[in-house]
Amino acid sequence: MSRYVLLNPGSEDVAAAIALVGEVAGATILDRTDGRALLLEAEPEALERIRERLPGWQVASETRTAKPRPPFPRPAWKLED
Amino acid sequence: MAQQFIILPSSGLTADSGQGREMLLEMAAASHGADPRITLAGMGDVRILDVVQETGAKLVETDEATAAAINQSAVPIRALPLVEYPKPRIFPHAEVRALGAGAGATAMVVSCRDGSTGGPVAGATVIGFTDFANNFGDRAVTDAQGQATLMLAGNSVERLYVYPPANYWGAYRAGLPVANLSIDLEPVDLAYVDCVRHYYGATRFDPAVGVTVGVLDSGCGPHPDLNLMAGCATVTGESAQDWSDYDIHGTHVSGLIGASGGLRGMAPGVGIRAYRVFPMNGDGATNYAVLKAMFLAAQQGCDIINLSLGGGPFDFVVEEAIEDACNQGMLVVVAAGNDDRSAVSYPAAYQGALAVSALGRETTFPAGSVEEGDVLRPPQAADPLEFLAAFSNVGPEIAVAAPGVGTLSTLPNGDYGPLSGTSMAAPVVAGAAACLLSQNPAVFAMPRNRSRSQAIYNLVVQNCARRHFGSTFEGFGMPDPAVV
Repeated sequence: MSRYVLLNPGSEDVAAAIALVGEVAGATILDRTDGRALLLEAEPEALERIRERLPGWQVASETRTAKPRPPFPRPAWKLED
Repeated sequence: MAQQFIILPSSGLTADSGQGREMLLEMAAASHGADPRITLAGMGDVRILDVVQETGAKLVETDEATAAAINQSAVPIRALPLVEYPKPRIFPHAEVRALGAGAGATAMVVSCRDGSTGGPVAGATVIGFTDFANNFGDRAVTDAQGQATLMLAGNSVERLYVYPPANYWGAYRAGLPVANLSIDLEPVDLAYVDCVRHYYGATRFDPAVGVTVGVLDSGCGPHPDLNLMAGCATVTGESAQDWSDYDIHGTHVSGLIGASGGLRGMAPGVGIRAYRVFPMNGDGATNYAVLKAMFLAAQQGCDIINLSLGGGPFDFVVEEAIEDACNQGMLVVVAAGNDDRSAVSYPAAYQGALAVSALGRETTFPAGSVEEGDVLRPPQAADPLEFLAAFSNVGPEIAVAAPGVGTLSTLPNGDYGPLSGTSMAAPVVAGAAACLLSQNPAVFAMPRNRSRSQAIYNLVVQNCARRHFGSTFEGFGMPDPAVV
C-alpha cells in the first residue's frame, strides 16, 4: 500500500470525508491536520474510489525531502557510513 | 585562437531598439543557417553556437581580436568571455574507496590534539585521499588517544580532511607524504569572529515586540542559549512531544536565528517554535510532515518560518503549504541548496519562498580549516575577501545571500560548533527578518494575511546591501548590517 496526502482546498466537509474514507475498503487514515489535510494509506483501487467520491480534494503522493546534507563530508560528529 | 564568448547588449540582457538589437537579430537569423557564421563589419567573424533570445544573449565562438573589436565598437553590444565555474566534488563518506591493507597499502597514523592543551581529541573523523578525483582514500575515527589509522596506497596524500567532534574547528591539509602526522585542532572560542559575527556583531532586535520564528528541522535543543517556546514533531507515527534534536542541524539553525548567552544569534532571545519534520530513523521529511508543521506554525502565531531543507522534484503539497503560509501572514525563508552552484532546489524555488544563497569571507574561519574548501571565485565581490560559497545553489529565484561558511552556533546539550551550508545562511536571514519585523511594529500588527507576508518580505529585500556578485548569486544582496 502507498501513502497519499489529501488536501482540503478549504471548502470541503472534513467530517464527511473522514466518514467516507472509513467506508472504503483498503484505505486507512493515518493522520489528519486540523481539517486541512489527511494522510492516507491506500491500495490504488481504493484511492481511485476515494478520488471519485471526493472530487473537491487534491490528492498527492507522500514524498520525502532528504535530510539536509552539509557541503563536503561534514559534520564529522554525525558522520554516518 | 577561437574562444567562446557571450554577446549581450551593452547594458541589460535584451536590446529593445537600435543598432545593437539589429545586430543581435542578425546573429539569431544566422544561427539558423547551415554554417552559422556572421561577419560583423569592421570587427571580424563570429560563429553562433547558441541563442538564448532573438534580441538577447548569444553564445559565439570567435578570436580575442574580434571580441576586443566588438567591445571597442560604437555598436552597443559587448562580448564577455565564457566563464566556467568548476564544480567541486562532493564526496559522501560512503564513496571513499579504501584499498585496504591487503592491497599493498601503507598505514598512516594521524594524531589529533587539542590546539590549546595538546591533549588527545577523540571522535574526529579523518579522511585522506590519495586520488581525490577518483575517490581513492581511507577514513577512520580518532580513538581515546586521538589517533586514527588510515590505510593508503601510494606515497602521497592529495587531500586530508579532519571533521572534528563538537567544540572544535576542523582541519584541511593538502600535498602530504604518507607518513604519520599530528594535527592540532583549534577549540571553538565563543569570542571568535566568524562570518556571521563579522557582519552582524550587533543587531537591533527588540524582544518586547513578540516576534516568533518557526524552525522546521531535525528538532531543536536542548540548549541553554535558546528561547524555545514550544515544539512539536509532525512525523507520522512518532510522538508529537518528542521534538528535541536527535541530530545537530536544527539546533545549529535555531542558534543562528536567536541564540542568547554563550553565542549571540541574529535576534538574541527571539521566541522559537521547533517543528521536527525529520524522522528519527534518518529518513527524509515527508511533504505531509512539512505541510502539517506549516499549518501548525500558522495556528501557533509564528511570524517567520525557516526551512533549511530541500531537494527532490516539484511537489504541489509543499508548494501549497508555502502559499498557505504566505496567506497566513508569515514569511517563509528557505535554503537554496548545497549542490555546487546548481539550480535553486525546491522548496526554495517555489513562488512565495524567500530563497537564500550562502556567502563567506576569508579570515572568518581559521587558516587550515575545512572551510578553505568552500572558497570559489568568480564572481568577484567588491570586498576581495568575500566569496559566494562553492557549494551554494544559484539562480533567478535567489532573493538574498547571507553568511553560510564556517558559522558558529549552538549544538545540542550545551555544545557549540561550526557548520557550513545554505542551511546556515537561511536562518541568518530568518533572524535578520525577525530583527526588521521587531523594528517595525506596524508591520507586526498587520492582519495575518498575504499583505502582511509581503510586507515582511519587503522589509528584508528592501534593506539589503549588494555584494556585487550579481543578482543570480545574491538576489537583492545581503540583509544590511547597518539596518538589521
